[in-house]
Amino acid sequence: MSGVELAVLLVQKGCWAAVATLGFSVLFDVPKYALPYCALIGGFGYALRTALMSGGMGMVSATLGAALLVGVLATILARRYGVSGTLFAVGPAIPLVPGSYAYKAVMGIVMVAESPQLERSADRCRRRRRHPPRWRKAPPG
Amino acid sequence: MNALDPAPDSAPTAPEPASLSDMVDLLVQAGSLLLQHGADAGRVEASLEQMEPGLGIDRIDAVVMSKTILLTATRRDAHHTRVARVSIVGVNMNILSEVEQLLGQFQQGQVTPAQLALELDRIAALPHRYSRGMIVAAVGFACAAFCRLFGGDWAALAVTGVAASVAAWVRMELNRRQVNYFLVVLITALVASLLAGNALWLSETPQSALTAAVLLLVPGVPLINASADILRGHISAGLARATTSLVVFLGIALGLGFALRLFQVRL
Repeated sequence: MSGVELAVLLVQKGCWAAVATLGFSVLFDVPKYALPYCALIGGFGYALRTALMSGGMGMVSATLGAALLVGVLATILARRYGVSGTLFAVGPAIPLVPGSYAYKAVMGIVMVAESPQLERSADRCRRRRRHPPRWRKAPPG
Repeated sequence: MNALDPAPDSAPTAPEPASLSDMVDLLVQAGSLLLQHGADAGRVEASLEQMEPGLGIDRIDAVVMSKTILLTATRRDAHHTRVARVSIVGVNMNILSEVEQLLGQFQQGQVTPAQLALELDRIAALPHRYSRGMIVAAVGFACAAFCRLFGGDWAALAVTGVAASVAAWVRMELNRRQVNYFLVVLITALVASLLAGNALWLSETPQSALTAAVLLLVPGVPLINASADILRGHISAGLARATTSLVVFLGIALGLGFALRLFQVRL
């Protein structure tokens, strides 16, 4: 991917993440003066994560980097307005929550109950019960 | 206990609600307001303890759990304790920042205890800053943006927006009728994913629509609060929030999973 392509991708993703941040900030009743800042921080945070991941970094460490950026920017703004940093950090943090991964993890837990692997091992247990192991002494007579 | 109140001349900053139980009520009111609207336990305890000097109390011991505040105020040899159950209303950053600014003013001595009580009543009655229609639209736009981030096309984006908006409205209505929170999540996820299933014949990328439409349910603030609480040593409050989030995820997965089975889609 060339430098220009990457820049375009980052701007696009950043803008969409800003829209998502804005929506969640309205849901959380963030005051109006803080909404533009929330959108900006959310866009920058998500763009940073995309950049780090396209640079070959893993998802976990890239998210850590993005969350650090969000936290630092939110703290600076919170100092200026004399409010708690959560005001500026909660909305921007939402796009960083890996929703689809969380879904896959929970579905994995649900699916364990009907996995073929589990049935096979259950069968093996049942068969072993029917044929007792050799080291057990045969009953006398 | 109030009989032990010291004579007025012995207290240098004569506090207005003189009885200890009034002060404890004031503290519990401020703490409940914070906890109800999505503050983490560490923040509530810190806010309560910073009110010590303004109220002329020697010591405040506050224990904040996920839905309970235990508070003891001590002055000289008198003490008063209250256990308060707090009903969780939902995240409201406006109320949180108002309460924090008020407590900051109180700490600097710009607000008297009597004014503080009035102001807390005013903040508690504040309506949501944005109208219901606007919130529904905002949630729709947010989920549509997520759909785009997951690589969906324009048709998927539109379907996601509509599905998430309807789901947001359904969630509001159910919450207003005080339905059990797990059922709310389950029904909302079901509505969102059944509507997002329309993307199957409208769009080339139906998976992105199905994944994005349920994202309005992801418990972002409880998850952030859970990690903040656990990292600051408020283990029981943090674990309670983490467990709630896990149950919410289970509800999302069951609702979405049902729709996926129905449409025979794999994510």
